[in-house]
Amino acid sequence: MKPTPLSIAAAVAVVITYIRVIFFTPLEAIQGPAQKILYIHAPAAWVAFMAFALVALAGALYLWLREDRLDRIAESSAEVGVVFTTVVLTTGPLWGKPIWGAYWTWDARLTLTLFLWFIYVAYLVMRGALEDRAVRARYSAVLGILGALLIPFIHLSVYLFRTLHPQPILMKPSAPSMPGEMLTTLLIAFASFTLLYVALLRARYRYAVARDDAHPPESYVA
Amino acid sequence: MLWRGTMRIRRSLTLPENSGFYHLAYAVATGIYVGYSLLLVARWNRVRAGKGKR
Repeated sequence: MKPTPLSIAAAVAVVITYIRVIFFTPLEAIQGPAQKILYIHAPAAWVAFMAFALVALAGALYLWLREDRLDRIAESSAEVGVVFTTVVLTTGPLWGKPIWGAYWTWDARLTLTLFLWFIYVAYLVMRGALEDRAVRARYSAVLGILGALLIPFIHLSVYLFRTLHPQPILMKPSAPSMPGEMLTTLLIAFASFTLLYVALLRARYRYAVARDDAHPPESYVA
Repeated sequence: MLWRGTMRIRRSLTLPENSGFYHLAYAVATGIYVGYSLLLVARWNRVRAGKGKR
């Protein structure tokens, strides 16, 4: 697999984001350097939600149209979404330790995010266990849609439950609660990690196409 | 300009106490992204060589 202009652009964008975070973004007065974890944690969460929403959308369209292309999109987005959720679940505790004094609490948002990760890991394990492509695509579509139902609960969990997790900074009805310099860095991070998601999704989709071409389907109709 | 930039980089590299978690978080996240990208390339190469699963 050769690097594409998209993957090169994504890598460059992420490097620019890192440089901006490390050298050109001020330290937050109370949290200190640990606050800078936000610039990789929040965009990874946004991308994970977007990835799983695409799994649900492609799954719903698959159930309607029975296009194997849609199943490949869902499969690819689920795998990339699991990667980004893993980043969320590792960088979050590394922020929690210096700020909360604990790596993990069984807080509503943290617990629901962990459940989301379990659901999509189960989705990938299930895909690996089912031989028949049509059955696999149908079961995956249903599980992908059900899993994505957690996303609104995770986003609203900070309002619905008593939670330690900070409230949203950007995705809320009122204006962003952050100084301009930090907000610019956060927006750059959102854009660059979204680009990284698109590049990884495309590469994973190309792999799925090559794999299916190498091993033609036994059946596409259940 | 160059002097101000150099000073800014120098200040950024001299970090107070809880910077270890910040560095570790960036190292872990980068490792996950790079590791997954390399895994994708390895799987792609396997499929192209006719050794892929399914």
